[in-house]
Order: sequence, then C-alpha cells, then structure tokens
Amino acid sequence: MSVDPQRYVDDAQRLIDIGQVDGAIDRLRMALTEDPDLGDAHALLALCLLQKRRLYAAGIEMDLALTLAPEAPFTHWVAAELNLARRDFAAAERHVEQFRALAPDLPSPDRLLARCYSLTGRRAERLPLLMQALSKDPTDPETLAALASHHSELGELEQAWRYADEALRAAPENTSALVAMGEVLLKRGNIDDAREHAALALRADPSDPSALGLLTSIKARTSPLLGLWWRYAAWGERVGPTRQVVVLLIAFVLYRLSTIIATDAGMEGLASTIVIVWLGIVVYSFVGPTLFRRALQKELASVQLSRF
Amino acid sequence: MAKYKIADEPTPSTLARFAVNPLFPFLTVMLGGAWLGFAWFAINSFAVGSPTRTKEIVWLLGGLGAAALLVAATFAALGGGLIEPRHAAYAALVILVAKLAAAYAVHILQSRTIEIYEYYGGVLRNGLAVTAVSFLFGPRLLESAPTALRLVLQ
Repeated sequence: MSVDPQRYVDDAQRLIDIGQVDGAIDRLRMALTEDPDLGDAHALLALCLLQKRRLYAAGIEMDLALTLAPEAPFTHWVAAELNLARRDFAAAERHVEQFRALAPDLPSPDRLLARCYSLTGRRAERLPLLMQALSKDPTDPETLAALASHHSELGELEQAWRYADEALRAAPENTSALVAMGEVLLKRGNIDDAREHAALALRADPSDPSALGLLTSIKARTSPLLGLWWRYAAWGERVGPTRQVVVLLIAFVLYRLSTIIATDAGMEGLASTIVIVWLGIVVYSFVGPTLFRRALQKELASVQLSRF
Repeated sequence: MAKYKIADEPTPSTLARFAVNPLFPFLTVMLGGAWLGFAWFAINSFAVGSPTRTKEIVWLLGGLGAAALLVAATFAALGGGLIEPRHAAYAALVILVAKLAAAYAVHILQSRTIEIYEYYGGVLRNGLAVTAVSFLFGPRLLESAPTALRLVLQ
C-alpha cells in the first residue's frame, strides 16, 4: 500500500525542527522511494546531509532539487548554505540573490546575504542588510542575534547586549541568541554567565561550532594553556577524523626527519627521545577526542548543577 | 520496492565483518610499511563496499607508482653524482611522503564511507593487534628484498 510521500516530507520537516536530523533522513528516503521526483524532498535531504557534513551526497541531492524545483525559494536557500560550506562564495551569493527575488518578504535571504558579505570581508555592507531583515520581522531571533554579533564584533557592547537580550526574549532557547549573549557577556568580563550561555547552547546542539567557539574563548580567557588545548580539541571535533590524520602525518614526517638529523649528528639519545614523543602523539590521537568529550560533558554538568 | 539510495552510502560485501576504522591501515603504512597498509586499505574498501572504491584504488596504485618513479630518480641522481650518498636518507623521506600522501587521500575517502557504514549499524573490528604485529614484523619481512623494491614497498 503506497503512502502519500508528502506526508513523509512533512514529518521530516517536523523532525528537523526538533533537531532529529537522522530521523528526517529516514523519512525523506521513504518519500523519495515513493516518488523520486519530489524536488522539495531532495532539497530537504540536501539540507540534512549538509548538517551531517556529508557534502558530496548533499551536492548530488542539491543538483536534483535545482533541476526538479528551480523556482522554489527553499531550494536556493539550501543551495546557498551548501555553497557556503564548500566556501564557494560566488555561487552562494548567486543563490542568495535568487532566494531574495523569490521570497522578497522573508528576512532570512537578507540575513544570509549579510553572512556572505561577512565571510568575504565586506563587513561594512552587513548592517544595512540586517536592518532590512529586522524591518521585515522585528522579533526574528536569528536576525536579532546576528545584529548582536555584529555590534559585539565592533566593540559596541551596549547595542550588542540590547539585541541579544531581545533575541533571548523572543526565543529563550535559540542557539544563535544564546551564543550572541555569551559573546557580549565574555567581552564585558562576566565569564561565569558567558559559560552558562555557551553550555545552554551546547545542550541544545552539542556540535554547534559557534557555541564551541564561545566556550573555547572562555577557556582561553581563564587559562591560556588550557585554552590552547580546548581550541585545538574543539577544532578537532569540528573537522573530525581528518584532523587526527593530518596531525599524525605531520608528526610522522617530522619524527623521521629529526631522527635522520639526530643520528647523523651522533645524538642517539635524542633520536630515542624523538621516537618516544612520536609514539606519545600516536597514543594521544586515540585518547584525545575522548578526553575532550569528557571535559565538555563535565562543563555542561557543572552548569546544570549551578542552575538547579 | 528498492529503497532510495543516497549517493555516498556503502553497499557492504560478505567481507564486511572484517571491516576496520581506516585509521588502522593508515597507522600500518607508517609503522609496518606501505605494502601492508595499502593492501589493507584495498581490502577494507571492498569489505564495506565503498562508493569511492575506484578512486581509492587509483590513489593506492598512484602512490606506489609515484614511489617507484621517485626511487628510480633517486638512484639516477646518486649514480650521476647529483646527490651525495650521505644525503640518501633525505631522498628516502621524499619517497615516504609520496606514499603517505596517497594513504592520507584514501583515509579521507574511506573514513566518510565508514562513518555512514557505522551509522546504518555496521560493526567495525579493532585493528590495533594487526597494526602492532605489522610494526614488529612488517619491516623484517622486506629485509632480504632488493633496496629499490624495499624503498617502494616499505
């Protein structure tokens, strides 16, 4: 018995809204099994795969969505996000412009274009776009948080705080709003409250790069050495196993090079030490991610205890 | 009805029960030798039914091919007096880097597949024991091989 595939797409949308991306992928697979020509299902699947950092498959789904539903604003939004993740800013801007033309009343295209400008070093052009987005929906927490971050970057902390506060009033659990407020609090020197906001954002999404970035900035403020480790480990979490391998690769080449030099110079003792350091790096590459996740869990637990 | 297939999803074979995290073949390239690590990468690729299998095999063969060319160039340079024999160890390092670059590329391709394989319930074996054995015995197995072959495969 066949089921209306649109029901699966609607289910997937609901699951994405509550952060259940894996469940959404399963629903979209069911929808596309029933009807492989559903453009919005392909676009939504591309968005899910993008969130899972499966960029290759996301690109294929995106191409299908653009062929099947080229006039859907959502398709261009996802295409812009995907191109931003690939760091193809020109293509991202092209899709944002199409998204703006197809959905002129929505604030999100303006906000997305502001992000493109920010990533391409045109920060001065960002504010008018964000104000335009705000005029379309004055209570949109994402726009308010983007404005807070903009002012915070410029050191305009009063305005930044005002926008972050408004964003949190509009949506107390919004990750962008929590991070924006955390950034302002950190710049004001209120480290405990900043940490609490970072941890709340991470509870909503433990892999959110901006929340992890905020937490590492807090760690760096309290202890430079610990902060360095947090920065390195958080970078590792973001880029995944690639990091482990790059570090191992560089360390291995350095180890071989330095043992050749040490042996040539007759420093056998130093060569043995280098071997031990290299084996230490191999061991750390296995245990490092686990140590970081435990430290993160501890951080989140300490915030929960202080709140309740 | 066949389920809709997402482009990067693997199609595990009967060898899937021997699949490991690609970090182990990668470490084996470093500790036990390229010939062991590369062979393990190839088996792993077939075991999980990696959709990028062809690309991975091309990288592995390309890595060995590049190493062979570099070995030939090094011997020619040594014979022509362009490199002094005491600097041969540095030239060997360049050959090693070429093999490691290929191993790195295959690791990146395979780790994406493995992540998805695990997500859909695939179980991975711990390859640490094999890596440790390759560390202890891998280099010894090539001791009697001619120098040129050893440089390519080690």
